[in-house]
Amino acid sequence: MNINAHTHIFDSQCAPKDFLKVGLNIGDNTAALLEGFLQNKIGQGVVNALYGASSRIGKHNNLISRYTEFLKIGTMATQKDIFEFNEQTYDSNFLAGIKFVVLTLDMDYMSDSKNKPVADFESQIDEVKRLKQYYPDRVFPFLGVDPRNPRNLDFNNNVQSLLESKTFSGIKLYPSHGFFPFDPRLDQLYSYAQQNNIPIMTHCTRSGSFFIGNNVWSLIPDAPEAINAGYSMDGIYNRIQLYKHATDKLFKQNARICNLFLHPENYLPVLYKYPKLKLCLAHLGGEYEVLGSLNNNKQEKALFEKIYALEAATKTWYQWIKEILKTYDNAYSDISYTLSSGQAMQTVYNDLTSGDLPKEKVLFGTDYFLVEQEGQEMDIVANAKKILQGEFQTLLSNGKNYLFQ
Amino acid sequence: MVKISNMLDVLISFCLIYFLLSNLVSILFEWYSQKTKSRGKFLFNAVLSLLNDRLNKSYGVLVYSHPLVDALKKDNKTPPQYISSSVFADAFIDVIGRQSIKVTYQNIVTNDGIQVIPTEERNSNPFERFRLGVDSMKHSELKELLRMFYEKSNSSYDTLKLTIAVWYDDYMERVSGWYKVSTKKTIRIIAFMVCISLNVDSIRILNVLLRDDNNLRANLVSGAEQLVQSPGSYRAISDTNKTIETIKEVIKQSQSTKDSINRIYLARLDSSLDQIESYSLPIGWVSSYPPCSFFVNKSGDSACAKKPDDTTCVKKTCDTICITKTSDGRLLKSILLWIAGIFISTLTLSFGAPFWFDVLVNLINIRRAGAKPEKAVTTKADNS
Repeated sequence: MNINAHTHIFDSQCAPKDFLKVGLNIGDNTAALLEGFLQNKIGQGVVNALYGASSRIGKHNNLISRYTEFLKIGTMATQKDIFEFNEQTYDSNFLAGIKFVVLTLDMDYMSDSKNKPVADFESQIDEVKRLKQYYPDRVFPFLGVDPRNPRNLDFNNNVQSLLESKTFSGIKLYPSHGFFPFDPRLDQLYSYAQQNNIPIMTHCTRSGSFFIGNNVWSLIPDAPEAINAGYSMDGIYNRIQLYKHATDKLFKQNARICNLFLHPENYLPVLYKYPKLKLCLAHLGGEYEVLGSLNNNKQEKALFEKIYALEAATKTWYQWIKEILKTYDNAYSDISYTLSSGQAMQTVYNDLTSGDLPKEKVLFGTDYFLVEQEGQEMDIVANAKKILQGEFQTLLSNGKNYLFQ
Repeated sequence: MVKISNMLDVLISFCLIYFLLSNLVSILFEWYSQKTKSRGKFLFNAVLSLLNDRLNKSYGVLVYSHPLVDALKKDNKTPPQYISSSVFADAFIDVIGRQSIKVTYQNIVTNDGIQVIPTEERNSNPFERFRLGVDSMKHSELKELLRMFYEKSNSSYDTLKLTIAVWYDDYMERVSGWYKVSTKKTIRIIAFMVCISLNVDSIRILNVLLRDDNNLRANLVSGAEQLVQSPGSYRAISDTNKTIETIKEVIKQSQSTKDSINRIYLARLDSSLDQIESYSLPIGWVSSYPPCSFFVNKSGDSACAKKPDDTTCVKKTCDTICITKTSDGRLLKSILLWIAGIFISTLTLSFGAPFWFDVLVNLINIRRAGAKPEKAVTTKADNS
């Protein structure tokens, strides 16, 4: 049984109104300009024309066609449309019949209240519930949880019942939207998940979506309260201070500050308390962290070195994750999004074959449709398959243990 | 001095011209709305603000993804331009009722794969399902409203549906008003584009109508009477206005397009231009009309051929034009008058065809009420 353990199908209505700056990885001002342009009929016409032209000439690797492809999917009408687009793509390729973990994201709190999504999280999961009815043995949704959302206060009705009915097969955490994974409000969730072997998928890479509201520091106290598990929080608290007092403008951007929520070390207080928790630290830390200073891309390498200088880091996130996978029986990671980097996949392949990265603990996932920013999904998958060789099939079938054992 | 009856004829002629051109603006606006889906998007936002319940869910989004409404979409990205109250009520009742449905799944994992068996717990009575759905909601304004609806419905689905349909229709009446207000700016832009592309200069039209060149006024008044008697009637008078002919040629070429909606609008546009063309209106980019006429050497094209020192020949869409280096202030005055003419036309065309048709009907009725002096004199002479 092949499983793509990491896909997204949220549509533009599920995302805050200012989501574009995350989706296209651009600054606030550029995003505002581009949003204005795309809301304009002429702008939409231009995107469609560019997409049409790039499709006709078969160029899918240039920046414009990649972004227009991403926008095209992201602006489809419903989550069902976005899922079916992906499903049909796979079914006409070498991974026909693959199962999909569909990760819902609670985006109601990832921006200021004036920019709340048109479709709130409750209606997002309502649509996913229907999708599960349409494709019961194809779609395995994960329920997004944000401790700030009051819906989670009624844990029995709004979380537990959805997991017990198996409408949702797991939990999705996206800490960079504005919370720490060791937040005590998640204690009940972790306890329930460990007891019932419910898989949890997190986001663990420096890129991706993040809190886009105005005052991110209001979410980060000097010493955030943590699940009391005896884990020393010094390293985590120290990192917060380093970012708070950073002078470089780069570290005043939300995209960088939100890395504080994502650091793999943040999961150690949780795993200290719940060592059997089935937890997947997604993306293997991301391309930057897998390659570190060996990155062929000079800009990425320079950014990596800047961040490490600030954090006074001694190991990469990739190294943190490898250690966690080796220490905790039910800890996993996946290759989603990172698989778009051929160089990173080569490193992963070397580590899988040498045993440095436990191969039974790494899942196949793509991060559809966000990965479309890097190219066509099936091209990326085919490239990763080529690099990972025999290990690719192992990763594809690891999802079965993660989901159902 | 202009006689009152002549003045009435001028007014009627003006109204007919504005009616014909407003009709063109309306077609272009409808086409634009169709292409940009603006009407559908406006309706979508209106339904969202009606149904989004902060304490519960974004029900508006769920109504739009309901199969009954989803089927009305032309494609994935085009929201329906219209949702009937009957479809809305059925979809909304189902969306609320769906909240009471409980589905559980049993996963049977084997070496070969997985079998998932769903079990659905669902009340088959849609009215009862709606009641259970409302009961499961958190207390909110929408819940209060929905509870009132089903309490008034005496356990009848039809009554419930009718109550919700009436509620929706009332709301849609207000939405239509909001939409009209929101589209005014776009209509003005389209009206301006029509005025520029056809060179609709109200001041020039007034001058021509007052002079009554080529019996234009009589033609227009007669056309107006026919139009009022049988709206939609066409007059087939040949003319050689190059601007309209050029536009029609473009339309003919575009009609080969595969898009059926485009074809419909192109046909309507063609027919509207036919009607405008049939009256030989003093519009278009012709060398004798402003602003082209400002630059034409009075001695004509032959003067251009000689290329005197004070002229430069340039090829333009209208004709070969000679720009005269004139030093007097008359050119500036003419340009300002032309701009004012275009501005007045833009404003008047944005009032819409129905407005001008109503004015036209009233003026024709006034005209019919009064005696026609010439005929009266003739009759008197005949009698004597």
